[in-house]
Amino acid sequence: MLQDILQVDFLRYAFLSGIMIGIICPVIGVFIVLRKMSLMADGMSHMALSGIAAGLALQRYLPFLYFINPFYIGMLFSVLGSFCIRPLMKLYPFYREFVIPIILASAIGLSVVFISLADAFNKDLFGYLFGSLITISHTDFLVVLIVLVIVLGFVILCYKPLLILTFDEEGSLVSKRGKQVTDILFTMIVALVVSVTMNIVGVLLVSAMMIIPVAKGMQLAKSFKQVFIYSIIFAEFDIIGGLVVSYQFNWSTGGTIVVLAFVLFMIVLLIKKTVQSISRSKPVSYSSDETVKF
Amino acid sequence: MIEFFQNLSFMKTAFLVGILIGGITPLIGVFIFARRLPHISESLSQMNLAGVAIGSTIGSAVPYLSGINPRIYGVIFALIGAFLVELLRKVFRDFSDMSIPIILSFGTGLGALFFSILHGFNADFFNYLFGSLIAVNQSDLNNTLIISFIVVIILLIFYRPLLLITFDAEYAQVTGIRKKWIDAIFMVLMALTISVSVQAVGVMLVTGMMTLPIATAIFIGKSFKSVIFLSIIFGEAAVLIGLVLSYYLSIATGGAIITFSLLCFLLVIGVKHIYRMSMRRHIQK
Repeated sequence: MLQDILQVDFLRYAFLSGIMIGIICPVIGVFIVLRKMSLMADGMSHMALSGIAAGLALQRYLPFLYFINPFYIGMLFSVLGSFCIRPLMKLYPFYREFVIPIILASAIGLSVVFISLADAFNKDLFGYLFGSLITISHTDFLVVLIVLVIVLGFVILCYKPLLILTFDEEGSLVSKRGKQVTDILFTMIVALVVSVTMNIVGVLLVSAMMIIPVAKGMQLAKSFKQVFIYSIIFAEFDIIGGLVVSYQFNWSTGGTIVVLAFVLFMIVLLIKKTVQSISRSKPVSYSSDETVKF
Repeated sequence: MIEFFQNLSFMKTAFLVGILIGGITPLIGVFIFARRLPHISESLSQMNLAGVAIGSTIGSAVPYLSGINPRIYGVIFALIGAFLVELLRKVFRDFSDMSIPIILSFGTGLGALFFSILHGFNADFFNYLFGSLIAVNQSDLNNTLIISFIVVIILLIFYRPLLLITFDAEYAQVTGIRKKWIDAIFMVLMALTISVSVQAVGVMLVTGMMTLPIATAIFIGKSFKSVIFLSIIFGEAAVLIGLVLSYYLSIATGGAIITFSLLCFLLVIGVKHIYRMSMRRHIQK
């Protein structure tokens, strides 16, 4: 296995990209979960699929646009989608959850139409949907590296505004414009992360990679910073474990990663429950000063 | 058009299944909307995918179980999914919206994993994901007919208790309606409806059929009954027109159906918006 990774090009790129994605996803995922945007991330990843499908259709009918990679159109669609989700939620003010199936299904419906137009119901499509090891090229690897730098730079530079946006959305600590700028930047970064993660785990499973590791981290962590550390550890474990298993048995990459992540999540929940019931007399203390309970 | 009618006998089964599905899916969808359960219906449909994948794997691995239709596993797994979502919502009280993407992707991931274990990805899997109404046969029609009949009958029997629990929970409790039982029955109805609707629109789009017609009808309907009536009309229109469009443009059926409902939805929102604007201007004058 290890020899394969060292010798075979695409495997090496897949593993390196996987390791970087294991850092990117949870870092952004923590903010997504705490800002209660997990459904929005889901909607954005599905919109990215319709973008890719539109790109494929475009390439078929307008061949002179061949230089536009479908991935960029996917990214564009997912940013556009994020701007559609909020107005839709305003249409049903008492019932925001109702909007999610509408967005998810509409995005997939559109993608199916575009895919049919592009006549692309083939093996490649499964790569887009559920991820694949083989599709990762040297360029993809470089793109992931660039995105890693952008994401880390963004989180470190905008750490304070992001925290305020997350924990004190109504507060007046930052000017309204400042908040809006951070919000838009954050949305665009999420779209970036969605489109690079898609390569490995597939469009339908991207949101899992952002949310499940954070859900596990939140169960164990005792402070905000610990959530980051635990989530990254869990994400790395899920991705590397999933890649190894899926390569060994020739299973679907994204499927293996997500099922592994979910099983681990259930185990963490179970362990936490048993520990809690053993030491019920001791009150659990949270060292973070926010009123958020994990 | 002549060619279309010549092929009508071939399309007849597809149309009949489509009409049944176009009726019961929005009917259940109205109750899902009223009872605030769209998150459950999402995860039910994705777990249905996982169930069918696991069912067909078991069927091919254990010969004497191969007689069981994978759809039955689908219904069972869908119910497990509903239970899991409720469990996760309790665990993450402050971040309950997180539970939906988790179960959604778990269902999809499990489905993809088992399909890839079984025989790799193939055209069947595409049909299952995005629907192919044209591929239905006589036995599918019979199954759909029976299940639609059961769903409608049970809904009629439990219409009053369901409405009471939805709109006046306290009164319902006083009159001795067991909320848990009614909830459980409703979950089974949802799982059954999803398992037949998958033929028309596919796993990824079932929830669209359960929400888009209702989302459109709510802007027009003035009472609960009129919303039910309108959503069924929108559902039927979407399925029938989607079927014809998919035949002519050779688009996957599910995509055509959902895109048509989406266009209806956007049109109604747009018209309503313009109407309101003009009313406001009228009042100002």
